Amino acid sequence: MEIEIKVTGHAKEWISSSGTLHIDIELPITPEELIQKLGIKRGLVSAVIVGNKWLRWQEPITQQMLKSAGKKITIITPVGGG
Amino acid sequence: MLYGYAGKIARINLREKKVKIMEVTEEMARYFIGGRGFIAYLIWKEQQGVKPLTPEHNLYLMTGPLSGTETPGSGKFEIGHLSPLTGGYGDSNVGGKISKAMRDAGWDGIVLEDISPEPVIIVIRDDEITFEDASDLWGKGAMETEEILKERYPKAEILAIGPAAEHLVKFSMIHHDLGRQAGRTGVGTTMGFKKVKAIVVMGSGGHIKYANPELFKETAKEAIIATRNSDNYDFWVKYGTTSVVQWANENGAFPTKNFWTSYLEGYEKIDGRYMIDTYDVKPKGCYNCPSPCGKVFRFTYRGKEYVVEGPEYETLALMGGNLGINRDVVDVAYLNYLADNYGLDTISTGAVISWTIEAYQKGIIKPHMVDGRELKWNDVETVEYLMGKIARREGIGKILAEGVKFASTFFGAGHEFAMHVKGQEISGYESRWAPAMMLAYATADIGAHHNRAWAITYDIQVGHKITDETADVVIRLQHIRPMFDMLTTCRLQWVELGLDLNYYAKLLSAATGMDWTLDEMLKASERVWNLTRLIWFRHVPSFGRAWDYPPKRWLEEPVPTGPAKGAYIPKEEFDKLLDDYYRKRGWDENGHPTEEKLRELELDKLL
Repeated sequence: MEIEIKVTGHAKEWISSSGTLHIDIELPITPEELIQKLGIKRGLVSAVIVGNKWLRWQEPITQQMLKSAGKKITIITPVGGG
Repeated sequence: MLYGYAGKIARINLREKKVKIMEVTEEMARYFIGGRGFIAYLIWKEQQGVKPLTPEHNLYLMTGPLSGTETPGSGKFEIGHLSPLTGGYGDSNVGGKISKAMRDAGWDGIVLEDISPEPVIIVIRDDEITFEDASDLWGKGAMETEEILKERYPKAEILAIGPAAEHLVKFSMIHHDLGRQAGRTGVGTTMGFKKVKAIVVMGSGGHIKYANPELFKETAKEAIIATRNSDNYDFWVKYGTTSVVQWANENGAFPTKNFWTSYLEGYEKIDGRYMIDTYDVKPKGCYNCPSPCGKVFRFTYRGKEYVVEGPEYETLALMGGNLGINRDVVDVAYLNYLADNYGLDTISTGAVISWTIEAYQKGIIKPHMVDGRELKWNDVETVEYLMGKIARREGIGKILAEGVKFASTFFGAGHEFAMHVKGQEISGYESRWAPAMMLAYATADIGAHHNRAWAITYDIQVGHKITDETADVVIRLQHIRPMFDMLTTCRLQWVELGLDLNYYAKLLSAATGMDWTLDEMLKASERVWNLTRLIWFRHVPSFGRAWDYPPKRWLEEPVPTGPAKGAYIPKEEFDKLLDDYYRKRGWDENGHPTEEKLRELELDKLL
């Protein structure tokens, strides 16, 4: 499935200058696997969100979850220290 | 007329109960912008030869040209002085509504001079500044005081101190808005020394004119929409800074047991996900905040109901992990409540108590010094006991109330694990694997504090190494982040939600009619950074390079457990990084700004 990935937070430019990535993925996939596939350093990600849900690292992202979230995953880089 | 400013500062003499008006000059606005810029400028001009906690020692409370306006996050307020904790330059900011009230009353700020002979409340109603007896409030908690004064003055905004500041605990804070604090550098201590229990502010508004009001409002509206449209907006509003607990543990950055290690077993029970999903927690924002990060937490503890704003990340780190607390986040919330009501900075308090527990366990502090108690990790009663001793300056609390640097000097031991820089206790990020973050802490101009430059993700990006750009990254952040404390607005819309920094240049230009670019604002911020450095040199006789080092633990002890196991930065490597930092800053090998740098920043003619 082709999905849109939004990268947000203060470290986003190290991942994507525009803040948006498009990628073809096979489902189910966990946030851990997704980050690995994208080649992102794990320490630069504090949360992966589908819909309004903050997923756990090993929680599978399913087709149903993605469809109801408009085929969009949000990657949040760490909160920038107040 | 000075657009964007009230144009005047009230100088309040507490002994004589007299007020003099000081003009804000165009030169001040052009070169120092406001907030922390004005504070540094006035300390330099007025405090030569002055020591903290003497009658001549002033407390400066300032707004900036964007505070209390339609700018997103404009509820910040800046308080500064010569710090009684460190002896050098100190400031701290607080969110809420006080800056709006101060500007509505027609003041850019106030300066508290001398000492009141008796406890006093300062009441500001527009141009009228009066004094009320505070004897009935002296001894009461900071939150309790604010609640009482809110009954007396329902339309006022209030700053208050608690018993810790009355007892001159060196890391006392100033409380506001039933849960916000100017926590660092002992600003509450200075207010307590002056016997000012509270400041009550009411303003009718209309005192400040913008150069281009239509453009200002239009730009501010655009910035608010851009903030709200951020893709992580919902996540931020729901979790605020509490989500950092998980990230910090996964990366070995979570202060644990006095920074002995950097990973807390069982951290999940004090993490934001658990806190927000399990308890009654509601968001709360400051004045004109489009992205509220505050968390109002209602909980029951030992059968009694409490409400506290927080705990936010720093408190979860320093009064949670750093004290080994992992049973449940309500333990931290309860300690947060106690600290807020005593009027103690949660960061320094957590650091001082964690040092005390480690010193006890190493035999430096003996049982008879702590009423025969056993001091333990993960023990709320240990923390509660020590916090009470500190806040009241009883027994061992007399020593601990001076901060961790003094305590380790007093006992003649435990320096290597006294976790401070320049006398200020380190906030919530382990840096033994993060050279940029370590440099940021070591060179922060109020002592170790993360808000000057949070550079730890750069360290992750480059694989935890020192690079040719490490010092540049820290320097750039040290100009961007304190710029917000000059404006005086919240930085979170930028740093968390990606608001373009150029908005602030547009807003400042529209407010003041001066043609500001972002580069010019950053140059002003660099000017203030160099000025605060000069203040340190002027007021601390031994000041210099030796003051820019992290504690020995970070330079000599490898992290013993967790994801960062084995990491530390040897002193020789840190020295090279510090050399590079000084060179790039235009400072000499002792860290003093060179004459050339002062000329470049026009400080030679301004001072």
